[in-house]
Amino acid sequence: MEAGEANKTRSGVLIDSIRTSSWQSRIAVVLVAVLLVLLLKQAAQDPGQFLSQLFIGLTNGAILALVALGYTLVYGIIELINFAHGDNFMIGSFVGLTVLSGTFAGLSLFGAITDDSGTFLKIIGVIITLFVAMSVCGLVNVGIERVAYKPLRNSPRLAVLITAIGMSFILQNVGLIWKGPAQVPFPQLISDEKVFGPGSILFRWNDLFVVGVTIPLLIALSYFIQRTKQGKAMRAVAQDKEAASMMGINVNRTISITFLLGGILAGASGVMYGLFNGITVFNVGFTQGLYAFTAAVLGGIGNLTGAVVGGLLIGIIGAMSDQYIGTRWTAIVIFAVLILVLVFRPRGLLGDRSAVQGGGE
Amino acid sequence: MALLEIENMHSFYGNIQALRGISLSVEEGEVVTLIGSNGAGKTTTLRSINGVMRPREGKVVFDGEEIQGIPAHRMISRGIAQSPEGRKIFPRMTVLENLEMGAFHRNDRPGIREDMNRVYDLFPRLKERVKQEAGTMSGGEQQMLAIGRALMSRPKLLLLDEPSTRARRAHLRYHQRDQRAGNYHPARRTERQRSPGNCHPRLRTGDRLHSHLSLSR
Ligand SMILES: Nc1ncnc2c1ncn2[C@@H]1O[C@H](COP(=O)(O)OP(=O)(O)O)[C@@H](O)[C@H]1O
Ligand SMILES: [Mg+2]
Repeated sequence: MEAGEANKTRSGVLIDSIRTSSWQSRIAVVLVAVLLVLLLKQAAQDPGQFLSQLFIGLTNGAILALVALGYTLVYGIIELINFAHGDNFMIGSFVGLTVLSGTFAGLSLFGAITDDSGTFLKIIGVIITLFVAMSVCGLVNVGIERVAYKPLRNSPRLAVLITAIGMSFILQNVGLIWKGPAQVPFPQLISDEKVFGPGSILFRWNDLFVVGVTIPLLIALSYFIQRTKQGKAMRAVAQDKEAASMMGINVNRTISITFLLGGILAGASGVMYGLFNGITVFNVGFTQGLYAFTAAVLGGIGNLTGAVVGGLLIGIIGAMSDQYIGTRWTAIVIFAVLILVLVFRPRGLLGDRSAVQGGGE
Repeated sequence: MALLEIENMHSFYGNIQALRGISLSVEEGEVVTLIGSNGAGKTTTLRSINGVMRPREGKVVFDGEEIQGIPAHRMISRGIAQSPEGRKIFPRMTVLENLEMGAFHRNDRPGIREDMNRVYDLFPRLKERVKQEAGTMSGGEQQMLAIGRALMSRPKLLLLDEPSTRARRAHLRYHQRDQRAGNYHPARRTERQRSPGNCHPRLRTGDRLHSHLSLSR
């Protein structure tokens, strides 16, 4: 009975919102519907290709989502767009490359792990690489906050923002000095053979690898923020710093931990990007960072679930556009989608509330 | 020795001097009320006691130790809790989570439970709303929550900045009841706060009980 009433009011709300909707939003809904129908038609013609492309999109999306989380975590707690975050992701991929090469600063520490290494060595090598890159990027992020942002905590927004852009250029140039201007190849440690699936459907080992690293990280992050004392402190600081300090929460330390978490995720993402795409380059953080930031805004900046949803959406839209529209169009398609979403939901898809501050997974 | 002893405290916002030599003492078990017109510096006085601000000059002695300059997050474990002006509750946490935040530095679960029940006794409305998101409650309810949250730390000194009339009454009842139980010995006394600068010279009678510095135990 009660449920029925609730349903009625809900559909009532829907009808009301259609009635009051603007002509722009009606056009947008029709446009999206037409695109989906066209996409489904393509999917029906060659389901194998469609699914393979979907998996690629999901994998790219997962890599983006981890970076997007770093933007959103930091924004949620100090309302800063950390422009250097994408470049920290690049540093992650470079650290990964260095660990795999076994050589640091001209010093050969151990033999490089290459395409020809044994399976066991590859697995151990990848795990250690991930661990090192995550630690380094976490600490780099904490360091950036301490040196560049913390002294400006009470300055005008614009001062911090331009500092963040400056940090981004500094990291990019560190990358340029470190590995040079050309693309650097990553060893192919994870097979791109297919794992399972009938016919032409491709779900490859490297897709599995990315998913297998991303999901545990997301679960751990969600557990940390929702269940642990430090996570609660983060939510409190995001909502009211002065009140949080009165509750005995060390606000500076909590902000540092937030940067640490964002950096850790960027490090994992950087290594996976390199292994998945086979290359990295000093300015990869600019493009990937821009897409990840777009994902965070698309999902609703400050909202953790939103960052993941935004990342996956951009990954999938990008992959579909690559396949069915053309790679040259992909950037246009992605940013058109962003603009379209923001016109109708200025705070992003899930952006009516911040998950760092409250709900969300 | 009084529980709280403030000597010649000067506080600044940048170059603007907000307090010019406040001296004040609060005995254990005493309720002290600060009265002053808007902008007289009541909030600044409390912020300078609880470490949100660092007084530029003067001494704050609490429980026998100088505490000026100690950061705010260390104060609650020393026994100073505050219900801040403007009811700064955590709007996107539930009532229960807000109360838990008040006991953030504590680990004694049974004690926390006990204090939570005391807060519910004091403000039954909060008990009805445990699962409600705090930001969606009425102003008066948020005020109760802010006071309840401060009590959750079992403070020696409770700072209340502009508690509403209703919540204040409940708070005073709390003191009286505990006095009967023999735990608290409240007394009351009023300190008039002289306005610090030329901008806010007068102290108007209509502004009585604007701010409330009170303590227990
Ligand atoms: N954040 C601030 N920056 C600059 N001046 C401030 C700030 N907060 C308060 N003041 C000034 O300090 C003085 C005391 O303010 P306050 O302590 O809030 O007064 P009250 O609580 O008694 O109304 C006022 O003149 C006010 O304008
Ligand atoms: Mg005030």
